Amino acid sequence: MSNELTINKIALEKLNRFLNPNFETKFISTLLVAGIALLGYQRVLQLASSLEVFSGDVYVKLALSSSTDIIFVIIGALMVITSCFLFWLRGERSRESSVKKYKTLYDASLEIRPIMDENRRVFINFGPNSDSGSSGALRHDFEVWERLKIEQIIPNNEKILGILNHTFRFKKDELSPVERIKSHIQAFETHCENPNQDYSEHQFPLEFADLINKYSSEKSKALNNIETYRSWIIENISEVKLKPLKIYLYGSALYGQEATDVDMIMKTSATQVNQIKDDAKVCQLLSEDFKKQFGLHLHLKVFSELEAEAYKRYFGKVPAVERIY
Amino acid sequence: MGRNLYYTIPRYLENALEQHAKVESWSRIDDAKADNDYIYLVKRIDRLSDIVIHASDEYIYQLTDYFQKPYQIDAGSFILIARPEADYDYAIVELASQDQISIGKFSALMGALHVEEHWNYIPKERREVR
Repeated sequence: MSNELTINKIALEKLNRFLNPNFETKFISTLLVAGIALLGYQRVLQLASSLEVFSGDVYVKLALSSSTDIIFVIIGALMVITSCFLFWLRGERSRESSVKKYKTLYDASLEIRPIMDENRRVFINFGPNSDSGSSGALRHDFEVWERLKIEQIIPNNEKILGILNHTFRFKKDELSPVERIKSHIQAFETHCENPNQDYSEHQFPLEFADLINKYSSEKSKALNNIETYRSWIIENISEVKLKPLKIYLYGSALYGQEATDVDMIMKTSATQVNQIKDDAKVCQLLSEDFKKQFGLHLHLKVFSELEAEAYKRYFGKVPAVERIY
Repeated sequence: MGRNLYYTIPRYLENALEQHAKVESWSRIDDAKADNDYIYLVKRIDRLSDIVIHASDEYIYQLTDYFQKPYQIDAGSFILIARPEADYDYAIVELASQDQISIGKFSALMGALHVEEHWNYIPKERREVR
């Protein structure tokens, strides 16, 4: 019986929220207005009692009077206080719910992966063992690395730490890599504040990266739009008479996290500049059609045969790719 | 192509233009609403011609990127490979130079600003690989 009542209550509540999605605000606002009305009705009565209307020969005098009803004033005050409390409570709840929570590391992996990829990109290109500045021309590269550690890697690390701190459950085999990444994040930050601080014992744990890569790859298969993009590209490149050798998808679209653009690499067999120029025009049209279809920018990196070396170099810097053609 | 540059990069470039010995003034000429690029018009002193600079956000600037460059980039312009970690294919250099367009990294731009026919200027970054 009580179960039925509860189910009925839930069903009614759901129905109400479906029919009236802003129900909480309306309810609290009504409570507030009613409370104010109860508190102020005496004033209204006093005002009404002083109204006199003259119209031609007609003279009307409204002579209402009321004694102070202390009970209404108390109820009104309680309603106002309650509504203020409910407004505050709702604000607190929405603030709490804005922090995303994850049941498992598997669930969190899709959020962590793009952040890790971004850090990896910065480290590969700017880090101590990178080949940036090999030309010797850009003396500010070292400064950029020092700056990016503070402006990009540390904030990204904090995001990862935040996600891990809002993940409820870890499996036994996940505990060690998670603890090690947390130690690494803290040690790296300390090292940035004080470069003399050695953090060699807290290097980035590769097993954490492997775990996240494994989980995100599994999870993204169910969530990403790779198949949609694959079929669209295959259909459209034949329409525009483009004959690529290979097309790869990379970046955020691999994890279903594409917000503004979709990254693709296209290898063509073009060996003549005129042919590359024609392909460039066709690719531009393809990008425009993609934008119309998906509302996303198609960032297409095209490598001709003349740019085979650059193609290899670029591939070395991309963390993960999925061949779609 | 786009404005996917870390916010410090345009600031660094603008500061360098501000302090460059041959720069009289500079202004952004990309349309904030219609365009997706950082494009600057640089006016130079000593009767040197104006230069339009396109600060590219590509990690690697390819021939295709060159053929898809913004319409403002024509003879006398400079394509800046703006990301410090970015690179460009030297196959573009000859092609761009025929169109009287220069391409290079930050230091190449700083050098090119001293030269009238900057598309014939060989910056240090390319001198080293020769």
